Amino acid sequence: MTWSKLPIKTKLILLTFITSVFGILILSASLIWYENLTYRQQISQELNVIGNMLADRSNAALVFGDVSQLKDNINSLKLRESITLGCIYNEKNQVLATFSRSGKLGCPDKPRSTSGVFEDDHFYTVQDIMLDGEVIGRLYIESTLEELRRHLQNYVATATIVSALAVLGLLIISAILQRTVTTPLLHLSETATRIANDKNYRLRAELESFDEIGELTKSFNAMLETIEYQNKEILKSYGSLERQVEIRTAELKAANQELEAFSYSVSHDLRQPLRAIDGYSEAIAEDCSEKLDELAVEYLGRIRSASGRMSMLIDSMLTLSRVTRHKLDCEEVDLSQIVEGIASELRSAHPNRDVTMTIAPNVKAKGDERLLHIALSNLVENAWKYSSKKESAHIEFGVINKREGAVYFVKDDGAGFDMKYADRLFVAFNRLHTPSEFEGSGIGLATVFRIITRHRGRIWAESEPSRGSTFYFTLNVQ
Amino acid sequence: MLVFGGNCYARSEYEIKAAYLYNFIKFVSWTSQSVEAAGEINVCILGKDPFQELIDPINGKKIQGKPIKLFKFESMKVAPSCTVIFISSSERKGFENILMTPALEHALTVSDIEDFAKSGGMIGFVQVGNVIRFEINLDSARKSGVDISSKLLELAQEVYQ
Repeated sequence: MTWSKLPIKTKLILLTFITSVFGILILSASLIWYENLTYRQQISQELNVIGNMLADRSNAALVFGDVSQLKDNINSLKLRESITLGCIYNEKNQVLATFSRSGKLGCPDKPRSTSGVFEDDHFYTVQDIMLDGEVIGRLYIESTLEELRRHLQNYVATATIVSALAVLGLLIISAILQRTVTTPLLHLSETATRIANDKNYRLRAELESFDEIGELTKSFNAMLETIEYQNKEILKSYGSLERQVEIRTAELKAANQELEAFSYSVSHDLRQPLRAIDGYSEAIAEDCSEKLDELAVEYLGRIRSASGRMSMLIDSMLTLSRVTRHKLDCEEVDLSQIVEGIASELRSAHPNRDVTMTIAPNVKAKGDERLLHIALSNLVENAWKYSSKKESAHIEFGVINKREGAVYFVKDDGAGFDMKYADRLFVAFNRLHTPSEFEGSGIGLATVFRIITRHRGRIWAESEPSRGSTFYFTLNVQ
Repeated sequence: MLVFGGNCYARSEYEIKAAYLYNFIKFVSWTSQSVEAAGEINVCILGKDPFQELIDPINGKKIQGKPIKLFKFESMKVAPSCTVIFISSSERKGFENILMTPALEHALTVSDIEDFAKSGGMIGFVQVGNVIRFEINLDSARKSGVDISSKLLELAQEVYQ
């Protein structure tokens, strides 16, 4: 587990632990070092004092060659337990008397005067034996450092136990004291998490301390205050916006319905007088043609063709308004079959035209059959119409399967159009060709556009003048 | 330091005694002001000199900063004031009278006459087997104001109180 993942509580306790252990270690080490130093100084001092006294006591015996007295003197060293070896030399470095605790004799050959030397496991001192300012011999004393070693061992053991207890105590204290730091922080964190989870901005963190955490808590609460206020504002404006949308939608709906009713009734009511115009024109042409001259008959023909065009326009407008009002009735539709039907109708209506139809088989889609029939008729009829200037034309219906879905197309090799007018293509009454070039109401593509839009699809066209055009569309209903 | 060399060769009896005589002085002090104030230590050899030239090297040696002056004479009648006197065994008869001499009132008396210490002398040499030791009469020393170091007493064969 990495340090950054540890909870703050553990971090604080660990910090205390590490610092206290570090401090106690340094303290203990320096105490042990100091103890070792002073203990050595003590040993050195003590043995030097003993040595001085013994050397002073022994000068007479040395000068009068009283070896038994010297032996008595040196044997007094046995009272000091740490002393393992003592030797008295005359001025020619000959050993005259020896004390050895272990019985082993190991007096060095030529001891040199020193106030104390520490070796690995022993200490020794060599004192001059003086008489009236002259050196008459030497005293060698050797002491084991076992005592120092044991003393230091005890010292280390005691220091370890005391340190361990101190660390334990510090841990307990820090475990208690860390709560004063972490508890407010934990509470703050809990509150923040709860707010993040429940999205309840009415909650507030409790102010428990007056340090930086307290400041944080205050700022946090202030932020919550702001969020709550802003939420209220948003909800308020959202509510009014929704109401406005509702009002506008209702208005729009009413206007639309009015418009539809209007266009429906207009187109419906327009039929009546038109039928009268057409009917009487026909009656005049049939019954009174002999009374009319050639010019009048021609004008009558024009009236009749104009009224026929108007009837077609009204039909288209009716279809458009029906398409808008019609409720979608979705099912699986065989588009290929529909196109076949339209093609055979067109063939029988125009038997003298040479048009090759390529219809991809089994192209199926979900949609309203009646509306799709209207859309496909418009597209195929357009293709038929705009390729009529060619001696032999080719019309194709098919589907391209793309990742985002099926794209259907109707393609011809007729007149085509300039792509810069493409955006006007699907607007009602916008025609790219004059009626003298190609007949048409200008409503057909608007109707197709509305049908495809109602199927949540998209329609677009690609073309080039006199090289034909392709209409693509997608359908997106389930 | 030892005036007479080391002990790596067998030393003669008087060679050792001369060294002892010299070393005794180092462990003795005088309570008498006149002796302490004197600038030198007079070491007298009374009677037939048994040391001959063996004692001569101590002449001029310094002990506690004072030079030693060596005197040899036959009779007490011509004796100067002695700080230390060695009474030769030639004076065996009547040495007690010599000890009474006022000139020796504060002197350290040393001799190898038998029972010298026992008979009122201060330090007497004795022979124990092959070794030369000494006896001390502490009482005589105290009476004469001669202070003998306890170290020396420790080494004495016998101490008479």
